[in-house]
Amino acid sequence: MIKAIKVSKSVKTNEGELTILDSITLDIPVGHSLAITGASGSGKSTLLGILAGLDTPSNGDIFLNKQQITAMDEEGRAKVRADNVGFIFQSFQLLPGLTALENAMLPLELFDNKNAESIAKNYLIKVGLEHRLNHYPQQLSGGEQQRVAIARAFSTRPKILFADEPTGNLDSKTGAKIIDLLFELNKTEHTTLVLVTHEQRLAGYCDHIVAIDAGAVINTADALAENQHASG
Amino acid sequence: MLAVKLLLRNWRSGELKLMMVALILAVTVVSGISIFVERLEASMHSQTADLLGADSVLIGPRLKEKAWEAEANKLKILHSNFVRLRSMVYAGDEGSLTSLHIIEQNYPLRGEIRLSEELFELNKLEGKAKKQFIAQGAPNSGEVWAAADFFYLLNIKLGAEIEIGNKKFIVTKVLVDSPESFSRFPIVIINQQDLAATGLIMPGSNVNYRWLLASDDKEKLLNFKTWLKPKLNAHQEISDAHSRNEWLQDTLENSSNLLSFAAVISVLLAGAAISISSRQFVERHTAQVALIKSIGASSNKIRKLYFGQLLLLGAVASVIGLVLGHVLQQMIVGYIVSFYQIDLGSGSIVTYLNSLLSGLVFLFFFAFPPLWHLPEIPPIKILRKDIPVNSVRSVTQVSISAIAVFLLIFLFSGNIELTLKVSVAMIIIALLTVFFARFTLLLSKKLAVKTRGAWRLGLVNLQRRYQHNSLLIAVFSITLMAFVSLSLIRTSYWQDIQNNADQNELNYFIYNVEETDKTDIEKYLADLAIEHEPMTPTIFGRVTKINNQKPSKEQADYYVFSWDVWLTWFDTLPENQPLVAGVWWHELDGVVNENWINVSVREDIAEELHLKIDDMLEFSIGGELQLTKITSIRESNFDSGLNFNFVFQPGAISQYHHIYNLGIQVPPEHKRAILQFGKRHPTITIDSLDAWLVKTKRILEQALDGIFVVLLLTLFCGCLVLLAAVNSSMSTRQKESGLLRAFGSSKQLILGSVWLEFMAVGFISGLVAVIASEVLVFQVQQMMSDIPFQLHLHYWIIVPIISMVFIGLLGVLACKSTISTTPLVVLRDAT
Repeated sequence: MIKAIKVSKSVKTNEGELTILDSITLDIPVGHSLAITGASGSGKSTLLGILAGLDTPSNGDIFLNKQQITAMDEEGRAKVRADNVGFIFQSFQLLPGLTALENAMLPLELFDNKNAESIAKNYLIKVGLEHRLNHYPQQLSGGEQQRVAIARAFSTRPKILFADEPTGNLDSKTGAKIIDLLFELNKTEHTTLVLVTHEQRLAGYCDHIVAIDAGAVINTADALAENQHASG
Repeated sequence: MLAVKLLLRNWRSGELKLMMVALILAVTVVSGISIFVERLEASMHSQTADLLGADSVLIGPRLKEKAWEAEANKLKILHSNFVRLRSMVYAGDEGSLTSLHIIEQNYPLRGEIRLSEELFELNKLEGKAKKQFIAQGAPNSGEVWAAADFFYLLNIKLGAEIEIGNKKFIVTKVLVDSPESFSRFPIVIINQQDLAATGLIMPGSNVNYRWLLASDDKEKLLNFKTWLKPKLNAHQEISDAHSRNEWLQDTLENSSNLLSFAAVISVLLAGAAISISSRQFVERHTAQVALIKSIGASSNKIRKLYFGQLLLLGAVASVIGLVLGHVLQQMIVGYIVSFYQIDLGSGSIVTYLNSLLSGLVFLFFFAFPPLWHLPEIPPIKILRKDIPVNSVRSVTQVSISAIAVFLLIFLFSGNIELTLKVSVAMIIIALLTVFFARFTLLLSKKLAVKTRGAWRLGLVNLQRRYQHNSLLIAVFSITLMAFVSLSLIRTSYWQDIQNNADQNELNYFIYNVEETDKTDIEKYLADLAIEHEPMTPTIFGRVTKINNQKPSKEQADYYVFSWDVWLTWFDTLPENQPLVAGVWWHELDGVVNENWINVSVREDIAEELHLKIDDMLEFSIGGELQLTKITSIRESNFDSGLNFNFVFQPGAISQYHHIYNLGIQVPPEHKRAILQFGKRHPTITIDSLDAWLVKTKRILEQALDGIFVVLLLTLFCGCLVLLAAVNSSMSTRQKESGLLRAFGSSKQLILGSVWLEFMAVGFISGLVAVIASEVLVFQVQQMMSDIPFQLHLHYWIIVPIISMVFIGLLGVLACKSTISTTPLVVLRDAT
């Protein structure tokens, strides 16, 4: 589903060229989950952004659902994202002027889905927010806001879901609930999941783990993830 | 449609309210002023026969020949006599100078006279009587129809008895409207049958005769005029078109210009509010756009969504603004024209449509530039907040706004010179603002380290929000300058005229004194111990040739060629009229040349016509031609007394029938006595400076009332800008407030610092406004009269203080939410 071939990212600074990612190669099969871990500033969010087509690498290629997005312009990448991708963010990124229902409906309305309201409502019920449909983000707790974000992300039935530190702004108890919800929906919706986290426990839920340090892959683990998942 | 849904959702969240109000306000002002100015211009430039009362009119000081009437009758051309003269009219002890219209039964030949039988309270909205009817013929003998202000001036009601000349009349109807209705003086209409009985017409009286002509057969009328023209003398002419009385036209044009100026300021401020709101909207939506792009929306889709929202907003604002603008212009019409009782035409559909489109124009110039780069925000911004985003530079935004303002000023004024002057004034204000803002910044830096608590915090905030506060200073300086200037013009300027008049030696002018009344009036004034200069004899005449050449096309419009002017003669050169060229009579050889008459010309006329000593002027005096030679040129000085256009050598033209004029200073205790004298000598015209001052004050007040309405909108626009600026800094203020409260600062400390910050802005704005106003009012005063510059010191104290309190209060109210919410909520909401 997602293939990265020798992907590098550098930026120019006053001190010269700074390498953020250094020749990363990944292959994530359909329906699998990948955790990208690393310390702060290691380049994980940059890698996520490039894999999702939000940014372009300085070198290398990205294939998303067999489409070479690195050969496309931004309009082309937007189309690929529209057809394939959903997002969950650390800071939820809900629009403050929209209710929970309207936030969840937004991606569907953007692409003229006539059943936007019913689909969004359905997902909000799935995430346990049936009584909070008309509440605004500032009226919801952090966990509830992330649930809305999850409902929004899944409402378009994406093939790939990218999550950037989905529990980063939540306490551990709430975070755990969100993780359970995320993986439950991931399983039922058959999405390929790529998430960025610095929490080893969350990473352990995934099929694969890639550890990054200073822009380079320092470790990959598949069995470790399976073992942790089996014992967790 | 998603754009509609998003617009409604953004509106619900309050994000677009400020922009909407600013847009509505801008369209209201533009449409209100445009419609009013169009109605005014259509009225001013109307050249319909209804205004003339005929298709053509023969104008001149002489009555027509009988043969002309016979020819007109032969051709079945309608004709009617119309006489106009200024005359004193008395009601008991009160008297007023009026414009007397003497008409025949068949007047007018075109248009109508509208009357009322109620002395109406001038309806503020249109200044019209509620019950009107069209007059049939002329007033009955012994009756008059008088304009509403006549009743006000003489303090009388319908049915009152008045005296015109030697005859008494009853005022039976209120004159609502008529042809030839534009006069500085109230109009009184009488029947021509009563003219002789008044005894007002004497040989040499200043009377305006008009012979009105009309015919449905245009060719016959044309043939008649062609037949008639060679028979006319230099003092007679046929007029086919008539624009409004020049004086009225000038007054209304000045009102219109002032209105336009006030409107431009309002629009500028509304534009600033729109621009700030738009920038704030962009800042708040940057993350949203990045999110929507991450979901897969293309730049085009974003463009359609956001620009679509704005276009919709602009359309709704335009409709609301147009409706409010229509109401606004009705209010202005009511204020300005209620005094004149003139009928304005309606605004055209084109003006209404243009006003509707103006909302979109405002969007284009003020709202779109900040939004332009919104669709280009990279989607990676959702993950990387540090990624820079392209935005329109402040310099670009200011330049675009400056072009918009320049175009608006030109659109309203239609005058490139005025546009440049106003633009320069704006630049001066901008420079003054920058200077004072920088000065304040330096001062606040120095003071901040020496102060503590709220003072320190307030001064630090002044520095921290330097750009915002500079903008607020500029905005309120302009707004306050408009108010202060208006107030200075209305009260202080008026007071200056009053003081000048009080200091002036002459406050009454007496005209049309016949030789037979001369001794009487001299004795009367001597009995009242009123001193005066010797009375000056005058006759009417006009220049017909210069050095045997008829005037050029450009010169022909100059008044000495187109009107009869006063000609006079005296021996002694007055002290206030020294010679700038040539010699006075006593330095000539003393003999009146049989080929020409020696004449002295006033300097401004000599300059206008490029006249010099020994040039020959031909005059027409009562139809007779007189050749003259310029022997001296006198200084143009109008400070005291009459300064005649032409002074002839004594004895040269005294054989013509002449009247006397004089200016006198009448102390208050003798003013009624002067009026009594006037009653006994009905042919004499008495014009008092007091009456002129009253009329001028009324005109000024009426015109400025209308402008005041627009300035209130200007102030409201200024407040909008403050709200927009505070709004855009709200999240920063919330964070600061939250942090300070979390660290233990009291509400009073934060409140105090907000007070200080905005009070400083208010004080500086007030000071800049007063400086700019003094300069502006001085320029206006110089244009309108020669009043020397003087400071209005009480404004220097009052305005900054009022401004300080008002803007301080406004700022505190705007920032109230940051002061009164709990630190925890503020900290959470601020992240």
